[in-house]
Amino acid sequence: MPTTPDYTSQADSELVKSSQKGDMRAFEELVGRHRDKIYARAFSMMRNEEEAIDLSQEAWVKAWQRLVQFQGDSSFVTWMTRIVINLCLDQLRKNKRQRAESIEAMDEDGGGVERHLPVVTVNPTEGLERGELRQRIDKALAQLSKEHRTVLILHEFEDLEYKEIAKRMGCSIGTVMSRLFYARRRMASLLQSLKKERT
Amino acid sequence: MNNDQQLKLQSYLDDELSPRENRQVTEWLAVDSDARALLAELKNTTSALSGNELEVKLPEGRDFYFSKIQRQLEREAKVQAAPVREPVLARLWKYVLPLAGTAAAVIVFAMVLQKQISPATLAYVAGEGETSEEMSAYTYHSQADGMTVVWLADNSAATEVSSEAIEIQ
Amino acid sequence: MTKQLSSFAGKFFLSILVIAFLASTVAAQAADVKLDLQLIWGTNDADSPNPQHKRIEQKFPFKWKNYFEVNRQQVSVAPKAMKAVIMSPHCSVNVSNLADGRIEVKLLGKGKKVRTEIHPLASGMLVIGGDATNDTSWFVVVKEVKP
Repeated sequence: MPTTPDYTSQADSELVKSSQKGDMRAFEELVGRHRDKIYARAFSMMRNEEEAIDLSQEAWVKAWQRLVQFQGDSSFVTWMTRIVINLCLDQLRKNKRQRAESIEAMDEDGGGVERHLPVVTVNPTEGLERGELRQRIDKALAQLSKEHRTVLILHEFEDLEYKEIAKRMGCSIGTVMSRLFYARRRMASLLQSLKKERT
Repeated sequence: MNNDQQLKLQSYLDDELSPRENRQVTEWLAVDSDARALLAELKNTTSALSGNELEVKLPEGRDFYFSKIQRQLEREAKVQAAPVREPVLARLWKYVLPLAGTAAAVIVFAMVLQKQISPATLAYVAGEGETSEEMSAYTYHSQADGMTVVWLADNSAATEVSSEAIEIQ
Repeated sequence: MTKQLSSFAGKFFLSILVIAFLASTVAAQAADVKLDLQLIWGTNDADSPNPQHKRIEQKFPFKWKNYFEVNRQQVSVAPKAMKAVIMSPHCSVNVSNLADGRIEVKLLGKGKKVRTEIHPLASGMLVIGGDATNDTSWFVVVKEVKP
């Protein structure tokens, strides 16, 4: 009598191999394992639960369809994260096309405001408990524009270089640098004001 | 400090400069306290962010979420398969389908006789659900929750029914 | 001879047991089925605009944070009989006891059939619903009330 493989004890690489042969149960296990991480990345970029669910779901659909292309050069979860990031970037571009030119889009790359922000001399996150720090960072990230938040996520959380970010976002390296600089300065200022709010 | 200098300072932090530019910035930092202060601020922000992204969990249950993925895959597979089907094949299909259905019914009936499937589960296995033409539905069963969910997917019709049905206001 | 007799007795009692089991199963399936029906609204809002809606704590595998009971009814359905249950002015459910451990649930919206589902009671509760406006949802939960 054939026995059902114990998917839960298998490594991602084994599950990927089985999925590449069309084993949907193995793929289901991969989804089960990494669904939170993939959804979290979509949510951090979109800041909208509905869109994040849809995009993360679409990423899994794309992953299944393109599994044969996965050669194992990176980990499966890294590969999956790249897929969801690309989908989010596409969606952000579509959203941007739909909305009128916003004020944030006009002053984002010019390097105007951030140059005049006073330097935050005291580390605003020093001595904070990790949970509290995470909450504050999330709150501050939510206040950034989509463009600035995206560049910050790709650089700080996904460890992508300027060149790679520029390629994915479809802009110049100079724009990436400018956006990243503004995003960091704004984050410092936001984290400081959140600290002041608490004290 | 101009914009180029500020961005150069950031590139220094991110290790994106050539060795020559790196040396130049190091020398500059040694003599400029404003540059040092700005670099410290950028460093603080980067190190605060590192590994401190808020953990967010998917708000939907695993089975429900996966059933939606499966459904989308099935839908896309149907769309891709449709244009490939030759008219001749389609005509053949008309004859093959009833034959296959009859064969499946005979097999299932034989299994019931042999008590391999209880009649109670037969309908469920065969998916005996029927939806109105205006909407589609997908079903999944969660063993863990002891729950069978039939989700009506046609938003326009479902919305009409729901908002009329609930009368929240 | 004794061996043959004991073998016959063994088979006889086994047959009696099987018949008794089948009879009890058939009897159980042929009895009235008591059902609990709920019309539920799923939302991320903390409160329902209708104060009569009762917040429910039960967890569902959906994304919404809060669930409110719009209506709840309990019915008993005789074998091979059908009962129509009105859940709201425009939403009703026809439940039939198929007398074989299954029920037929017909969901109607504004009198029009939306979905018919044949559901084995042994597999747990049945949820039929869909997305609604403003990122909310509605669904009908049908579960057996066991004596």
